[in-house]
Parts: sequence; structure tokens; C-alpha cells
Amino acid sequence: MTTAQPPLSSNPLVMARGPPSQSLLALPDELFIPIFIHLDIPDLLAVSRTNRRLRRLALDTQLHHLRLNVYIPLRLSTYLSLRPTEHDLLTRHILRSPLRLAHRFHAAANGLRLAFARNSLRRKLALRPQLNELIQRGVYPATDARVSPVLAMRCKALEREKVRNLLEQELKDRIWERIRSVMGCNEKDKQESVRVLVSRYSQRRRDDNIFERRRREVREAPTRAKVYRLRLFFERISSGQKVSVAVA
Amino acid sequence: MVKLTSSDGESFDVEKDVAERSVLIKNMIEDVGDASTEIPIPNVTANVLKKVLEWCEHHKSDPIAANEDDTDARKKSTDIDEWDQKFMQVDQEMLFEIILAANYLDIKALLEVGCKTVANMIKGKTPEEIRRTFNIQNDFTPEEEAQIRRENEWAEDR
Repeated sequence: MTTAQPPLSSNPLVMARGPPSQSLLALPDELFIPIFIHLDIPDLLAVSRTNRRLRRLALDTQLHHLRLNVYIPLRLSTYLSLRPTEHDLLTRHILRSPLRLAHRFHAAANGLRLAFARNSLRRKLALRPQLNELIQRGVYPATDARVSPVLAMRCKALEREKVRNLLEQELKDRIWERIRSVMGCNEKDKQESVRVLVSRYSQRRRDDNIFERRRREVREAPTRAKVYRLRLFFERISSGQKVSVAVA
Repeated sequence: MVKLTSSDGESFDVEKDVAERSVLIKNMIEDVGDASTEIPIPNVTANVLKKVLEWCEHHKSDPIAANEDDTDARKKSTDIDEWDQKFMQVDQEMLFEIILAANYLDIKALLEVGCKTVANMIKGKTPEEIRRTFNIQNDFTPEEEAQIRRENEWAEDR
């Protein structure tokens, strides 16, 4: 790439450069470095397969040294500095915000779970035994020809209602269980609350017992009426009358 | 004004700062010390010199790269200025003449543009396409060619 010293007089040797350069191959060797330095490895490989001289030039160690240690780092740093920031990408809607991504991810996961459940249900429903089979196995009561169809239908409806109630109850239980688990009422808390309840209850029992005992003492003291009736009872016995009044 | 004479004897009157885009001419003017003397350009024909001067005229206000390192700024990308792209839309003979003239006259920016243009002509082509583009003779023997194919097998997939 270095230039020759400026010839002050027209040098006939320089003049005799030969016919006008028509091809790439007319260029002197040193001019291939600034050309090839712009090429990437695949292009250099392609060049190296065209011609002997070009092969030597394309595989030149000095060229590859320059390429790897000077040109490529420069180009990389330029291109990296041109790279848009994350914020730019977000505003240009090329990159999605992490929040929206998370939302989409959850939606997709939910969809997948639902699809999975639907598929497994469909498969299991297909495996369900037929009604005839159930009747044969005695699982399902055979419809009696003697029973009127209206009654049979009513029976079936009732049966269905029963199952539905059962399922509803089951569902409610599950929901409550879920709510309890979500609220953080785990086993330990439950035990604790039970203990608290027991202690409270026993406390109240103790308190109640005081009144109860008093009341019982009062109650156990025979009422006047009772005393009067008892007196009458014994008086009748002593006077030989028949006992007709049952002891209350 | 500076008077330049091409190899085929044609003279060009150009402004001093246009002519001084060429480091060779700049040094010559400094050496001679008199800008009015005729400067022979023995390696460049009139039509090529005209074209080179056209480029110099357009780029006369560009900052001149003071040393070797400054040209790296231009090397950073393979992109070529739009005007330069149009300027380089010439036949291959002229293109290589311009590259040779730029090299001889030491006009780094013009040489760079020429080299990038040639590199862009090579990019993405197969060896056969490159040969056809530049009219290159395949001087490999069949044995050599087989050998090269074996060596390049890993890069064949492109």
C-alpha cells in the first residue's frame, strides 16, 4: 500500500506498465490485501478456489493476521455500538416487556393444562364401558319392562339428581379445602386452633359448672309441691288407699 | 491552480486543494516549491485522471486522514457512500484503473472505495461465479482441484 517515491521526471520504466489492466489479476499483489480484508471467510475460501495466484493471496498469513487482529475488532466494535438498546426495542415493539411475556406465558401454560385435561378426559370417556355391559355386570339396574316408562324416567332423573348432589357436595368440599389451603390454614394451624377451642371450651365448662352446681343444689332441694305430694302419697298409703298416682 | 499532465499528454488545470487530495501531488508541489509548474502524472491516462479529479473535486472538503490509523474509521464498515457508489458504476477496466491510479497518487479514501467496490463484487459468489465475473483463468490441475475440494469440505455447505 505504500506509494513509490514521486518520480520527478517521466521515467520510461514506469511508463512501460504494459497493456491497460482489464482484469483483477492485473493488480499488483499488495492491492489485494485492502480488497480481501473486506471479505469474510466463506468468500475468501471461494476466492481461494478460483485460481493459483488468488489462492496464494487469499490464504496469505499477513492478510489473515490483519483481518483477525485489526479489521474484525474494529468492525465488531462499530457494529456493536450501532446496536439498539433494550429500551429502543421495547418502544419499537420488537422486544416484549417481561411483564407481558409472563402474562402470555401463564395464559399459554393454562391453555396447555386445559387441553391436556380435555384430552385425557376424552380418552377416558372413550374407555368407559357401555350401558349394556354395565347391565350385564349388574352394576346398573336393568330396566324392568313391567315398570311404566314414565316411572322409569322419573327414577332415572332422581338417580341423576342424587349423583349431582353428591358431586356438588364433593366440589364444595374441594373448594373449601382449596380456600383453606390458600388462606394458609395448614395442618399445624388447624391443630393449634383446635387446641385453642378445646381450652376455651373447657374454660367455659368450668365457668358453667359453678352455676350448674348451684342450680343443681337448688334443683336437688325438693320443691314444696313435691313435698306436699309425697306427703299425700304416704298419707294415702298409711290410710290403706290404693296407690294410683305414679311417682312423678 | 495546478497544472497536471496525464501520461498521454493531456493537461488539466485544477485547484490546489483538489489536487492535494493526492499525497503524491502534494509532496511534489512541496518539493518543487512552485505551484505554477506543470506536474506530470506518467502512470495515469487522461480519461482515468479526469475521473480521479472528479472524485477529488467532490471530496475536496473531506477531512484528510493525517496518518494510517485515521483511515481505519473508513475501514470499519463495508458500506459505501451513495455518491461514491454511483461514481464507481463504471466498467471493470476503469474500476481497476482508478484503483491503480489511487494507489499511485496515494489517495487513500479513493483506494478504499475502489477496494470495497471490488470486495462487494466478490461477496456471496461461488468460485465459478467469481471466475466469470472477473474473467479469471482456472489454472488448477484436476488433482489440485480435488485436493482443494477435500480441504474445503467443511465449508462446502453455504
